[in-house]
Amino acid sequence: MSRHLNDHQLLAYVEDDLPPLQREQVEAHLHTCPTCRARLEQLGETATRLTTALHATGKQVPMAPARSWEAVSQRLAKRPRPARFVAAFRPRLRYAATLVALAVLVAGIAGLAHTLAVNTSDPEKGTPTPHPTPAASPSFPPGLLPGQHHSRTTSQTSLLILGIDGERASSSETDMLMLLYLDHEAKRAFLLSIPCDLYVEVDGHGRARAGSIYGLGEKDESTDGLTLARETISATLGLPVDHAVLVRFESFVTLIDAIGGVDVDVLYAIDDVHFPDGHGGYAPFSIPAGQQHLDGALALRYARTRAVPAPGFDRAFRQRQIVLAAQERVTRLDLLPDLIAQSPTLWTTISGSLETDLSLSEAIELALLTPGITAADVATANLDACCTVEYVTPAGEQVLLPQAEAMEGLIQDLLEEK
Amino acid sequence: MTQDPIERALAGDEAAARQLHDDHYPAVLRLAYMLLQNLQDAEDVTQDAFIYAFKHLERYDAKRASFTTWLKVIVTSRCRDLQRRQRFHWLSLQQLIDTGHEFEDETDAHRPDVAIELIGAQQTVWEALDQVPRKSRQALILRYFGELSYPEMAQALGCTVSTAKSRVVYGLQTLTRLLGDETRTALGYHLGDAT
Repeated sequence: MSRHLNDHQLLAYVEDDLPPLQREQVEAHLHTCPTCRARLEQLGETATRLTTALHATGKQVPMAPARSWEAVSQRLAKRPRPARFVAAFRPRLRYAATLVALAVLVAGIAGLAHTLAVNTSDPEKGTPTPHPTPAASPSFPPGLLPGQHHSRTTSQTSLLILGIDGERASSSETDMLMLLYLDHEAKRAFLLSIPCDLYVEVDGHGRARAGSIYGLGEKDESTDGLTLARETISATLGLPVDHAVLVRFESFVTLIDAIGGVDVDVLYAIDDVHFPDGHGGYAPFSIPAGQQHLDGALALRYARTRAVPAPGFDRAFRQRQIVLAAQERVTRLDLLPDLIAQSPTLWTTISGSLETDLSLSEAIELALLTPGITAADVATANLDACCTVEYVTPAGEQVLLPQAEAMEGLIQDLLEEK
Repeated sequence: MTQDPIERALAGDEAAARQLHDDHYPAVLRLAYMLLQNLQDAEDVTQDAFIYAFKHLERYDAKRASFTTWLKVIVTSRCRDLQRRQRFHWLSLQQLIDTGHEFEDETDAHRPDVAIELIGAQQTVWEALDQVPRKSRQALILRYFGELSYPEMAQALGCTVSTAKSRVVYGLQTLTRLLGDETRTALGYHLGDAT
């Protein structure tokens, strides 16, 4: 090969992109030709300088993955939903998940603290039995269940979560209903959002919106709100519901304070002069940008303010920040001794701000069931899109009628979800 | 339950989808930034790319390419779409550094200043790269930053494999000449002085 090599050949050689025979020829030529060797070196140097400069610049590109994900998930949620589980992207569910996470989280702390306390003080007794025995598990009136209800094992527990927004603290109308279902052995869980407008058969009260069951039960002398809600939802879904818990927005403050506040990276300064004071006036507040330690009250305002200082830095994003910060806090090993030390008072505090039919020992059982299940194992779904049809009652109420067959299918899917 | 985040995301698992997003976001955003040299646009096309990817996740074939590579191909073609749509004006990086206000606009006054500070050799290379014709510059970025293969580049750029190769060679030749000129200038050589 007497002619000089062209740049195509040189580049292909450098990139090992030549057939063996050609490669040998190029090598032979390079061996004898200083001009081509110089050119090869020159191109190589350019490539090196280019690569270095590009990567150095790349490292400086500011990253905002959380904001990006927020935008992506919101835009995904807007598309027509081909699958039921896209409901997971809905902001409302996220708010609900916030409360659930906090409730379970705190139950977890109480459970963990209690277990450790039991182990330390009375080693012979060992840990409390993590699996409720069928006899010990809360009684479920069998007569209420439709005939085809799902069989279950002792490793399964379900918890109905009712939420009341603080803005309507005096109201008994629940604006959030969710069923948390945990299968400890199968390491499976699902969170099913139940629309408040679901029109259901309430024992002794005729048909009513799901959101009003709690209030009906509270007014009924023969039962109470949580029990009636638990039984009604169980009968509607054809699934046993073991427990119910009512979370009021103000309990958020107690929960955060119970874990000693949270550390949050406030991406943009918040200055809200229109934050409602709950009495028709304003309670202005501001939080500077940067790493901040927020107590319960401030964390609540941070999560609830409608001020959006930058796109993507909205309520849903901030609520997630608070949940993550709370999780991070309770899993920090250096804080664990403190939390354990507080354990005798912690459950009292928590149970005082939540209304629940769970006793401490049942909360511990529930908490012991949860650690093996991570967020990734939790399937989420919403009843409204797949299993209901819109209907206006003779009284003019806009409601959603449950479609039994579709609902049965969804629950079957959730139970068998792999 | 399968451990593969792609399969889990396909099944509608939001946590898995988020994991995929978070794992691959830096590489995708960086490549988009290189191609567009504008952070706002880069963030937009990065979001577009992820949305496309999540909507068409069933089209991803792990046997053919890594997930990152798949995303890079998607984001590159989004960048090209954007440029076509806007009859994109390539702002020079120098201009960006001079003004420092490139990313502010009236609807979005709270964005932090995101002009990237370039130093020394890095700035020299970028100045030269800005003089390389666009198609060759894109090819260089995909090859030396995106680390795409020629077939992948061909797919991302909508051209043949041999065209992709030619663009890289031409880009490298131009860049070598420009950087050579710059070195001679820096050392005090001038065209007239050569003899």
